[in-house]
Amino acid sequence: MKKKLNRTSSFPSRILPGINVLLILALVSILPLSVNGKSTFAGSKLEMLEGSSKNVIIPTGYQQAILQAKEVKGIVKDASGLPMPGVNVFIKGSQQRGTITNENGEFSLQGVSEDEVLVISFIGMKSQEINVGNQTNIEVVLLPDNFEIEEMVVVAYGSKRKGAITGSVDVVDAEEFDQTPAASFDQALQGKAAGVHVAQTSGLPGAKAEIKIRGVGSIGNTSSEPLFVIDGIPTDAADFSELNPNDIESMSILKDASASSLYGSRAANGVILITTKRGKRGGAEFKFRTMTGFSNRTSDKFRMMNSQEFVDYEIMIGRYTESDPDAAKFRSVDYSWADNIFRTGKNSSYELSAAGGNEKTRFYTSLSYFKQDGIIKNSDIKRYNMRINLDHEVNDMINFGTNLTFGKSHRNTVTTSINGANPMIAAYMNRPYHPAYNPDGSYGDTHWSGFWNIFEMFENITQYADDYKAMGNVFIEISPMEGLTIRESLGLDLSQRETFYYRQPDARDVVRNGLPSIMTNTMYRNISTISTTTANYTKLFNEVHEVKGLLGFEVQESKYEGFKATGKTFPSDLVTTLHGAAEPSEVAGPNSDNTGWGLLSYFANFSYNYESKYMLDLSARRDGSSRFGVNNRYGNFWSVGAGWNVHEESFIKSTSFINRLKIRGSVGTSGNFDIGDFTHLDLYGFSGYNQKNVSYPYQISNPDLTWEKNFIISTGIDYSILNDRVSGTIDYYNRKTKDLLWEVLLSYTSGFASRTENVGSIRNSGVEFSVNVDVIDKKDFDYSIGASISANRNEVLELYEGDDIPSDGDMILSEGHPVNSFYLTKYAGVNPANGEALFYDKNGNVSSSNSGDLKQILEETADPDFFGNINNKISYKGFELSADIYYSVGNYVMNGILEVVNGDGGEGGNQMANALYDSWKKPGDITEIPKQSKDIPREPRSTRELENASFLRLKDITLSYNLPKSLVERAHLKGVRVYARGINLWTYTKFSGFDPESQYGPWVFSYPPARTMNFGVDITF
Amino acid sequence: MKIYKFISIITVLVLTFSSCEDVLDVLPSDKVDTKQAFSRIEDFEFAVDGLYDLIRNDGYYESFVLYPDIMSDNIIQNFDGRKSHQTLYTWKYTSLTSDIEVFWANAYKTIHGANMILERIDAFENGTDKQKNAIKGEALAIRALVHFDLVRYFGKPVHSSASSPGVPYMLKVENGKPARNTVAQCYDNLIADLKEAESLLNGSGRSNVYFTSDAVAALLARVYLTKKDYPNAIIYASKVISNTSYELTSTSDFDGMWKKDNTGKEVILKLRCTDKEGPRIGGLYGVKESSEFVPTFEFFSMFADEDVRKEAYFTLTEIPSTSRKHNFMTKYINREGVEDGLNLSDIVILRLAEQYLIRAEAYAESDDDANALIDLDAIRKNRYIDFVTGSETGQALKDAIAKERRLELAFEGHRWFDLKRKDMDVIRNADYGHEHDGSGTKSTNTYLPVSDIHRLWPIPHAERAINPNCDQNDGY
Repeated sequence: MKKKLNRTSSFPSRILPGINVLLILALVSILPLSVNGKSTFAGSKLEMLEGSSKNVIIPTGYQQAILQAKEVKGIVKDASGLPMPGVNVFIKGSQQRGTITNENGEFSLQGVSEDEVLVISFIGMKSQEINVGNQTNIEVVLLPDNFEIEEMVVVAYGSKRKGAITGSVDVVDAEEFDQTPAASFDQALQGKAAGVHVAQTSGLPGAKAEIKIRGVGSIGNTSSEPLFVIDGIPTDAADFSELNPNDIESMSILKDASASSLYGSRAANGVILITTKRGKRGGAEFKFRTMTGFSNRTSDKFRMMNSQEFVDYEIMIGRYTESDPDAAKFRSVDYSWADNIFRTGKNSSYELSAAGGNEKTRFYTSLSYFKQDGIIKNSDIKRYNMRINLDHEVNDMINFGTNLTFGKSHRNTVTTSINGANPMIAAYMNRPYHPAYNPDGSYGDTHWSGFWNIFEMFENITQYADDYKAMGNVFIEISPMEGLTIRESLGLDLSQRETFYYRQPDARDVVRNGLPSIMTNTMYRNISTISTTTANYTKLFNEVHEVKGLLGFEVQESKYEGFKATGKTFPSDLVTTLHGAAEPSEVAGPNSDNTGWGLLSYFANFSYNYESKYMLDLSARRDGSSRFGVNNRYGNFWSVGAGWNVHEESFIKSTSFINRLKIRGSVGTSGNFDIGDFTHLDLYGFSGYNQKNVSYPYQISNPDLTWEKNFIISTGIDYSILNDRVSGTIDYYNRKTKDLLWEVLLSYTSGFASRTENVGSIRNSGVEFSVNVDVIDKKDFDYSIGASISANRNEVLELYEGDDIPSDGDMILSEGHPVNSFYLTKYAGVNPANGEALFYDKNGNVSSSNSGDLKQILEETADPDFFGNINNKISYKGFELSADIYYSVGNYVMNGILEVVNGDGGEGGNQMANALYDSWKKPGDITEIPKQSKDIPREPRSTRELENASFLRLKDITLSYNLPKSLVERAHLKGVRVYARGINLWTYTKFSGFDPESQYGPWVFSYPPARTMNFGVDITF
Repeated sequence: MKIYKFISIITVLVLTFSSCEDVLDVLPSDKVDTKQAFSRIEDFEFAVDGLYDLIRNDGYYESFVLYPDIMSDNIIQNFDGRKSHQTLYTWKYTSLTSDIEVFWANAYKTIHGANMILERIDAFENGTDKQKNAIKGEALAIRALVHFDLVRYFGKPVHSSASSPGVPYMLKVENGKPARNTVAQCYDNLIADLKEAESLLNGSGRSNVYFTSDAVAALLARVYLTKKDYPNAIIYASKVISNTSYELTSTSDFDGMWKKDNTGKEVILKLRCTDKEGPRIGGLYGVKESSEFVPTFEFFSMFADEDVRKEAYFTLTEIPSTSRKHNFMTKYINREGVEDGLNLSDIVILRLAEQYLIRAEAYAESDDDANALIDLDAIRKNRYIDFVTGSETGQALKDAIAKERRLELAFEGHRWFDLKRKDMDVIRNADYGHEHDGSGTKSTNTYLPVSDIHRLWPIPHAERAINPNCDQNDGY
């Protein structure tokens, strides 16, 4: 029987079970239920309490009691006698009847009868219960709860006290992301956590950073990026430019098995949990924030030739002779393409947010606008965002909430093609004697075929992408008995991208080169739904045995669909839709595949904690995935973690030197399911013959296909000494990834060239140190310094049949070598006798040509030996200065663009000035640059282009000032903060390219990261 | 009470979730799972028609209008061009040559596609016998055609080296490491496939862009000629020649056979090429700077002015940038009557003229000069405007048939195989260059004797790296 998919709706239908659960929970919440052994709603009818301004629903049976009772007033103070606003005050047994203290710590409650008990509670403080009796004015002093005050950390499917965690989790707080002057906030993660390698490879507005946690876990095209989970919804990092970074409350980076294996088949490369802001009880607080700034290139070490030099050079290589009339003409013109293609990029943003709530309902909402012009003309992004996060407590059993955000971005993009249409290539390689504009103002010609002029293309070629992202969830939590919470969350993540490309009828390619005007529209949409059901149980036995259990079920579905339409030949630039095309020629295209996947998971976590001294943590997850072969539909993942809070032992407690010392270790498994949606299937594809449908064998199945398996052993120490002035973490890990995904070649007689199989393994191991020192800790003057260093080593353990796998970018995978090892011929410099480039063969003999089999596996790799950060923070009264330095040492880069901007005479475009001044010219010259000649092509790439790209960079420096409270209050405001912030202001590197973090490779002229200076103000009221 | 409620909630949850299993059954929407790809009789028809798409593109029949000619003596490289396929032209190919690997890969991809159909069609319960016979017949015919092309490129001539290695003859779907069958086994298998196909296709009624029983008979005539089995070649060629559905194109229509979409009654089997589907087979010959190959001056000079083929096949044009004139090969230059017909022409696999020439050769080799001359004159009558009845006999007749065959079937993928079949050396005239009058750059690769290892293509390295059972040809 033929199986049909429901293709009428793009909305996955499998979310229905989740909706069922929501309905059940909602139903349960209004049905008669017993709370604390007392039937609160039994037999009551729900109706609105008349005269109540809060419209609280009160069961009818209560009305009489309320009206007979008295008013109780009071004040809540802390141990030092200061009033505490925002404290919960409610009547025991009924969370509905309560209030919170005002700014002066005062509360008042109507209708309290004498036999009732007031419960006074505040996060981090010990709750108190007070018998009302005949009191009408009550004073309460709340004391800190040492057990509760400990920092809570968001972990997989919940949160835990920091001291109780057995895994390796780094937390990055909101302030680290606030007002990041970049559209994609993942860049702000750089230098924020040990073991997390972040590279800002592109300065294109909206570009994402590359993130790797604890090394490279995959080979080939399989992603080594971590899983990102925003408020419980796994999402794609590529969409971060549609989210507002200021909405983030914290990020938890889960680095080892104990922390991450609850995410099973997606956790192999680590997990980053992102939590957005929520409202707090007690009045609304409004915040208006704005900033503006400008950016430029980080460095311009590429010293290209001017016209004089270039003509001299062209004569030197034999392209012209001095007597050529063109030579004199060209010398008279000099135009810097780079100076005109680059610009000072501007950015600005405005944001209005409000957070607050009362005892029942809390909210956080924000609206923001961000605009950034790139440092290359015609590249920019505009982003609009809104968010609302709501929480409501129905009663002390039930609460629900919602998170919802919508974002839109519009970006103008520039091409990254390998020719003069790429502005980076035009900037550096256009000849300086070809000016952009002719004397009559028309566009000048260049040396590119088609005479492309990038400014003409800026005017006549429009390229943009509009991205939309809607993301949110609705959740309900019920606690049918003490210690037990059942939670259901339904989430939706929708991303839509529309791209537009238009080569207008006035374009030079149309008018002069005879190409048709062409317009291409694409639309891609990814819609993902997720239903997560969890049951949490916590119980403390005999005051010392704390037991926690978690059971969960999750079902997620993702669908990707899109189309592409192209039209050719348009009447005029004024026509900007496909309908105007003379030839509406093409629908669909190579990227129109409609795909999707589903994931069905069961998971459980059990943790045991004895007196906060000894911790044990067990996790298990079972994932079923549509991406796995039929023989391997389900995968099981697990972890065991253990921890010992040494400082809780009496022999440590007696020393004042150690405040906190935790030793922890874990072992476990996780997977990487980035294996393509239908890679395991036998497939037939469709095409046309004789204008009829035809089918053909498309793909051979691998029913055994499975995820990459990751096995991690991790151990670490968290310490805090000298009155908590020195604290930090030391970690060691060893992770082995096996069943790597690789295209294994087949005999062609099978009908196919290859199929994806699980072969080979790699190992990453490393250490991470971090330390934070409060150097000065005075009333008005603080100085702290933090630093981290991370070192990762990896090795290819096993490959398919032991064969080396050379890859693009002059690298190789070879057993016994690091993953990103370079594979190149060693350059031996220039022969002083004749100016020829020389190379070493494998035996160390010198050869005058880099042809044949001279390549060898080098010790240099693309990954750093170690990397880390040094963060300084000084505050004095209202001033605060923070400076974050990021460094990376020992990473090498194939600076392939040297091949073309230093082409030894073989390239037509402008060249670096050193080719004229420092190249070999006569016998006896000692130089690294060979003889330049138009007739001798540059030898293929060798270590001549391989460069050490180590760098030290002042990543982020911010000076801020909080205006004095007295001044602020006079303006009826709560706070005013002004600041100046510099990103990438200073870099130390010996690397000769545009920027050490940029992407490099043969002919790769990528958009370099920028240096940015920003100014901003935050006003709270 | 409390516990009861809790249990009931959990029960409902568990029941709810157990219905979620089908979330794992996600299938693509632009492709189908092979299990579902043969659900209806139409699905089988799609798959059969897909075989024509496979052999039409990607270096298979698209290259048949090129490779057998450029490796022979009809063509000289245009040295001003981009030098595509130069390793084939200069006989410098190795087991790493991509043109050969692409051909090998696509040939076996097509065979796999045919075997997928053949393994399923007999057991399929829906569809009439006529439908099923037609599907099976076409799949068998294509499987035979592809193996025939493979064994002609990679194996030694069947008439003299029947026991030498041919190619793996794939009779079923298999992801394995098969060894090479002998040349004789390959021919036995493909003749068996073709004979079964011929009877299955009897009266299938499809047009000449698909395999019909007539096309199978015509292919069998070619196969038997290659085997030098002249009686059978005569039997099968006669079947086609006596069929009134086919007629030779006359002198007045000849040009139109190529420019007007290969219409007329001469073509027995062709692959349809359209502006949307491609391929544009004239691209590498076309009249422009980037034209890669032009006829040798010697070959061009063999065409008499009274021969209608001369004008139909060649156009003298000067290229402005080089100021050189060439007799460009323009048989496939343009399809008339379509908006964008540049370099567009159907790929002719079998046509009636070849059948006359097969039978003429078979009669001549069987010392039946009278019948051989009748068939040869049938061709000449329709090609020369000054035709007079011929009078050749003996070797002169054989030479005349060979010459007419070379002229008639030029650029249609025959020359290399004809030289191989006849154990003739490839000899290119070293005195003439690539320009229209024989001047210009001369070819430096002018002689490939029968004994040279390059008379056989090497088994691609990519195959041998995976499948060591597939022995390499000697010398590679």
